[in-house]
Amino acid sequence: MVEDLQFTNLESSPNPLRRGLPREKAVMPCVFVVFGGTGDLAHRKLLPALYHLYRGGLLPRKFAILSYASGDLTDDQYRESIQESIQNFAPSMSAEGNKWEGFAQLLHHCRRTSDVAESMQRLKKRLAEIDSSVRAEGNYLFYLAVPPSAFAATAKGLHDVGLAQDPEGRAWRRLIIEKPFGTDLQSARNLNRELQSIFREEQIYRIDHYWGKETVQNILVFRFANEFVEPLLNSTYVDHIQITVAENIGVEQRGKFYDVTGALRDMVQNHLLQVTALVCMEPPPSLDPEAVRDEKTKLLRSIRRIQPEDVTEVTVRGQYAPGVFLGERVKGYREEDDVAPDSDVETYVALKLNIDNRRWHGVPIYLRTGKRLAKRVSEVAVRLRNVPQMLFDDAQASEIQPNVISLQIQPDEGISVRFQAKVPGLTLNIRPVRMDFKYGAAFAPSAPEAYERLLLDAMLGDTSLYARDGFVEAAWELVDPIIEGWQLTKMPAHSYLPGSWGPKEADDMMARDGRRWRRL
Amino acid sequence: MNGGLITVPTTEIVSDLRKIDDQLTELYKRVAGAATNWTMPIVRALLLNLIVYARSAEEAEEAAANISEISGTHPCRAIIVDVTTPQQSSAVQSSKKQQEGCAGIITTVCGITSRGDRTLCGEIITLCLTPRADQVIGSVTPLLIGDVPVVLWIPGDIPQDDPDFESLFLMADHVLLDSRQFADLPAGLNLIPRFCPHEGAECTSADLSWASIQTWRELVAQHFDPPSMRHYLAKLQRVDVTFAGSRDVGSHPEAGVLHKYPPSAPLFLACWFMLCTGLQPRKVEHSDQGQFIIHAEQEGRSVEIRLSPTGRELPEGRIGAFVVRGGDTSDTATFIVKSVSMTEMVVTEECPGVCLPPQVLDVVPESDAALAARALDANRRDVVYEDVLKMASQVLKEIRS
Repeated sequence: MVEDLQFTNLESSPNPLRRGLPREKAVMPCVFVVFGGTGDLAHRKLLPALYHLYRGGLLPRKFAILSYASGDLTDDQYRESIQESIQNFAPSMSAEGNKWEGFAQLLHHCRRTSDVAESMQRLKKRLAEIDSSVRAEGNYLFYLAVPPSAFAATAKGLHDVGLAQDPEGRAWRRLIIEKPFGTDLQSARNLNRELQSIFREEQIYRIDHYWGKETVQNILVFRFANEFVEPLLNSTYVDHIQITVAENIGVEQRGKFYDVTGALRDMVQNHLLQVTALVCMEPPPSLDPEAVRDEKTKLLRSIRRIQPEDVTEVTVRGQYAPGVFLGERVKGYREEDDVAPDSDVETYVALKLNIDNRRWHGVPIYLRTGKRLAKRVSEVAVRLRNVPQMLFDDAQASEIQPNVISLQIQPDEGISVRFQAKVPGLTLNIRPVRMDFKYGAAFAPSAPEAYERLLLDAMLGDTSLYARDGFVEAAWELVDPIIEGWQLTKMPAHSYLPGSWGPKEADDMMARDGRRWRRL
Repeated sequence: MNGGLITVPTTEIVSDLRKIDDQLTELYKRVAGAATNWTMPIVRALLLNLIVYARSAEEAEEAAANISEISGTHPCRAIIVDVTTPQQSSAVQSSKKQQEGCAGIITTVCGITSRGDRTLCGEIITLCLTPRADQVIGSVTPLLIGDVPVVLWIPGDIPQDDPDFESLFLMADHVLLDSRQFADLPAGLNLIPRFCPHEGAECTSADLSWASIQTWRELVAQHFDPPSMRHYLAKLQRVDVTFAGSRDVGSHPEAGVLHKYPPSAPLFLACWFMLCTGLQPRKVEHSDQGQFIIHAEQEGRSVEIRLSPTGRELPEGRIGAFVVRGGDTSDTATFIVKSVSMTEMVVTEECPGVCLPPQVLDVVPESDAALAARALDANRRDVVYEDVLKMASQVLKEIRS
């Protein structure tokens, strides 16, 4: 340990006093700049997450938060608005007392006007003042909580006032952008090109809160820290995999966005393909962020593209109709606010994917996601093959169900295994039973909110849970031909009732393969 | 745990250890019965075996209280091996232990999870044993839950030449000890390495004294997180650690009783800092004021590390302040972490140029149970602790010589 201390390069080496501490890496002094700091995302998610990190002592002492938005607010008014939001959206945390007062002092607001260039200059000046008062050493994190259409212009604005890079090259500058990263392959490429003309790829953090979920991260641990799992995950033992991300709510206030986006772009292109990558990728050589991201991208590139002419066989579109959900009458999609009355946008999508690599050859991956389905549930189910040699007579054999390993992502995070057991008694009766592990029953502390983990990672410079340009483009390469096929074949969005598991056509797609969806 | 512990009358005397599982089942039925108005499911979650080896009534009772607190986050089957004789026991324990045919006392402990969606329950079995190795091993082993870790908690001094303890130690995957409680610190510290005798040893140990300084280490480390502050670590001038002295007998008006050795927590903190900054201890002085001065070297320069007792109102042995002074004559900075009460600490920087104002931080007072829970979570070999232990033993040896 003593020998490790390098007196010559202490500034560039890790802090030697952190060795062995739970947090071996600490966040460097910095200013967290929120573009759109008065918006919904900032109030509901970002600021509560930062406050929680502050309460946990996870933010550096030399730290500040600067909101940049159109509201003409003083710092105190901004602090009050955030206090109110925390009371409303994160009521488990007290927004009063010493902790709150300490956090409130970190909050500042800078007004954006219609004169973008002048506003940016003002932002730069304000940032410099805050930096010198908290000694942030020029480290800035820019979070673009603004519409995707403003990403490139905002990045350019930062470049024009010299904030995109530290002129001395000592401090770091990072940019976080929210999904969607483009609306198709071409727009994603354009966005990447525009951002990369200003920021280096390692400065760009593409956030998808789904990645911050504890159970999504636990897929890696479950697969690679348990010797009994990985040997089973291949075409010798796995019959197929089902990945479900179901919501029981409608589009709520997002009608305008949703009506030009649809479930395929909104959910499959990011959440479902990310989970697919984690479940099916090869083990990375290390947990180094780039190594993990390499494997995820490699897996996406191994997924066979669905040809436009095949979409009717291996994809299903659906749209929820009006109906009754748990006794309450609910609107159909076309009746939702800001949705065209004749909209054909899909609120449900089911896909069958094939992975062209040795491990997964011949193992279909079925994805489904939708709104107004029976339950809010996200799950990965790995269905193993039937036992090859049947010891039991026909009657007994008919009772034998294949093993299923299921990873429940939400709401009740856990892992379960379905296997066969003998029913106690003098005759040989076989029943499937479930062996359940529930996080809530094993670990009393609750998992951190996804945004907390992701924001902390960005401040630490850890990109593992952020999407890289190649991954985003590979995902669009898979999704674009499906959209093209839907347009080509004029494939309709089949109607389904609220509270169901989607349109009948999705069941038919499975039935054609002699399979069925899991009842969750 | 946020929801706290739930108390229901669930303690019973067991007369036949072979029927303990049946009695526990009955006890849980009573918990469920009493909990009919609770809105969340009750889960009997036994994630580990926690054996406490108690050699006094106080230790046994304190252990039971600690386990109750831990159960909120670490539901377990706790087995308190209370090897006191009924005559040694407190009134409550004694009356139970003296009951005709008492083989054990069972208690359920339930806590609400932080999400508030479940009640997790664990159980405490206090064995009514008389000290005899065959009885200890024969009673404890059958009661262990299979295939989950066995943690042995030693609340006080590490027993020596004690066959009961040896038999339990052989079963343990993890040992919890507390060097703050050692009557003879140098002797106690010398015994700790036996729990991790060699590289790759499966049994790991955790010291609650070491766990108690984690907040101090974190706050001291935070001073040097900004790369621009690191150079002060390479030019240390002096380090001061103050700690609360004993108030039992006062031979010094400020410090109370003069310690023969520094308490383990401030000693560990000083040794940890020396290890991390390349300070090599050369000589130790023990002044009449109860102060310990470690003369160390860093890159050929001498640096003093002073451990000084104060009369401040903190529990005995608790650290009061940690002050680092570094830099050269033209650029000197002082970094201070100070405990101002059981729930507040202040961090201060005195440096050239713009310095941040002192910052008051709320801290949660850490009970033994909270420290034990943290040690259970870590549950792995801590090489930094092992290095600190070696240096602390070296410093104590210097003091003794």
